Amino acid sequence: MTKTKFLELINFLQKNHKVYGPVLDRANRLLVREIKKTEHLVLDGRLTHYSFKNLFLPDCEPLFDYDHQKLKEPNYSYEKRAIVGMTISDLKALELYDQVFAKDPYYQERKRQTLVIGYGIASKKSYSEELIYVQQFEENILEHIKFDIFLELNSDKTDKIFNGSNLIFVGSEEGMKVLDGFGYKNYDKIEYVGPIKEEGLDRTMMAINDKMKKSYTKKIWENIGKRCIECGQCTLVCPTCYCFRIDDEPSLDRSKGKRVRCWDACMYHEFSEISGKTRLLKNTEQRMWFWFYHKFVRIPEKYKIPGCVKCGRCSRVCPVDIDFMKVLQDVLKS
Amino acid sequence: MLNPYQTKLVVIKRVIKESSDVKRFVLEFENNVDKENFNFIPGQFIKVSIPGLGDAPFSFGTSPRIKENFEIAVRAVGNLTNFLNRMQIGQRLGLRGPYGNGFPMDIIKKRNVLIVSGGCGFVPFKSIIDDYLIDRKNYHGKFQIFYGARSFDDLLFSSNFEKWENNKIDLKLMVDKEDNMCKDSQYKCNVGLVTELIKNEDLVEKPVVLVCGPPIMVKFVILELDKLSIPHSDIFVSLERRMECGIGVCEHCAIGPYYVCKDGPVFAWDKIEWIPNII
Repeated sequence: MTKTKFLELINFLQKNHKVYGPVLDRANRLLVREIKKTEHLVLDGRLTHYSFKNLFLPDCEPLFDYDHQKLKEPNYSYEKRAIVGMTISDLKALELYDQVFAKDPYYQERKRQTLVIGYGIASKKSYSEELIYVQQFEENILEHIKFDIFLELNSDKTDKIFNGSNLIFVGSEEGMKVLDGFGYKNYDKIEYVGPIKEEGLDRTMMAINDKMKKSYTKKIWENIGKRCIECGQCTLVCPTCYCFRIDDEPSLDRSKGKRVRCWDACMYHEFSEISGKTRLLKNTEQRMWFWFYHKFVRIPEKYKIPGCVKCGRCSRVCPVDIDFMKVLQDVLKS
Repeated sequence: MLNPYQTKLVVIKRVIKESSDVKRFVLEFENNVDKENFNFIPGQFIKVSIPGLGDAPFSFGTSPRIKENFEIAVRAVGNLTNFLNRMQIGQRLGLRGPYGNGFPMDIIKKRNVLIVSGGCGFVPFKSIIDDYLIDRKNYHGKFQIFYGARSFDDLLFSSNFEKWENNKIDLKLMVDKEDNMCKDSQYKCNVGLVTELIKNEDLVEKPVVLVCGPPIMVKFVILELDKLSIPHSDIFVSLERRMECGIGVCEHCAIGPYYVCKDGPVFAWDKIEWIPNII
């Protein structure tokens, strides 16, 4: 599919979908926004600054409108959306949300109204560090991620990413329907066979899991505990951070209001606070360990999928330059 | 799709003042279907919701055999609990649950039981003891209770102590400092830490030990039990953590690989003792 044709597809979708995708802001950061004009869409191989998670798990969403003791689900309709430009690592995170929020009616309804269009660059040539996800275009990867439509760009030139032979895959009935409706037949169907490859979970991930479970290497956690300033930016940009708190927002007459679910961060002090102001995660060292333990032990053990999709957004935003990959290497060596 | 955050309505049927800052609330479902479908195990918890203030977890303080209503005990420590403690008979509350894993009742019914508890941590044990009093023929061991609090007033359920003792429960009390209430009562108030009871008293033979109280108490209780070589698989600890969702999603109550709300709050000590900073 040529670039022109792909953008025509976006135009076609805009007729009855709100289309979201990566666009550049004034500071040259790639953000996920509604695509009003297709020329704004940026698919150049770069990861978006934030992940796509707030389109699936909004940073704050009302769970209920309350009136005295009664909780009523808000009466809003979920918009029909197409989300374009999710990379393979973003799609891997989506698989995790599907499992974690399997019984969550808000997530499920939002997801049901969403057409997911992923893309990736399958190139043998290695790109710069910034294009970290490119290396993740592993063999048969498409069978292990969920999407409706996937655009595979085959180009060795970063500046002419769309100029190679581009392939289109569909991963769902919905995706097929859309392409049929658009009048494009030249696609391949991919059968989803589950998130894990035949050879099992990623070996490095398993090794980290094992190390984390077997020992608490005080030196590692103490060290990053000293550096981390608990700003929580890594948790904001991380596609597999999904923790939340539930707050009530009363209206002026206090008997009515909203119960909302908002993102939280385990780096914040109040995260573990119980009655009497007792905090069970007592210091930065403990909170850091908690964060890593979620990704590398709790998620893989509970959902049988990796809790880190290796996008590297955490290291990219850290204001005190904590290199999370380096921390993992230290864990492996411990 | 069922909404896991939706609450069911209960009505406050009775309010009983237990101590200077603790009240017991007898709650009954407004809807009969909710009432009939409601079952729990001692040690499980519910989340009580007060729109405008959020929700908070509470243990059951009555036997699950009683279907008509159930009790919670509320200590006024925060916004929600202070508000709750001002509520009156006839007012309504929302709740969801029950959640988590309770105490191992099959083991408790077979073995001698030692309960070690501090302050408000006693509430889930009241559920077990109430059940024992109703269903004594199915409990085959002895009950021993070591219960400590700041003062005699802070010992919950003191009006039940006589009944417990009359039913062959070995009850030993401990307070931080002796006061007049203690002197006026018919009970011996030991002064000191609850751990001293483990040190000084004759324990029931080969007990299964149930522990719930402030983390610092739990820590020293286990050290003391270790001196008696009680296997860690025979010690069950009920943990307190911040809980938002109650269904193992929000991450607040995570400990190592587990969620206190879903895999706990009651854990066999050998399962969790290795987790850094667990208590």
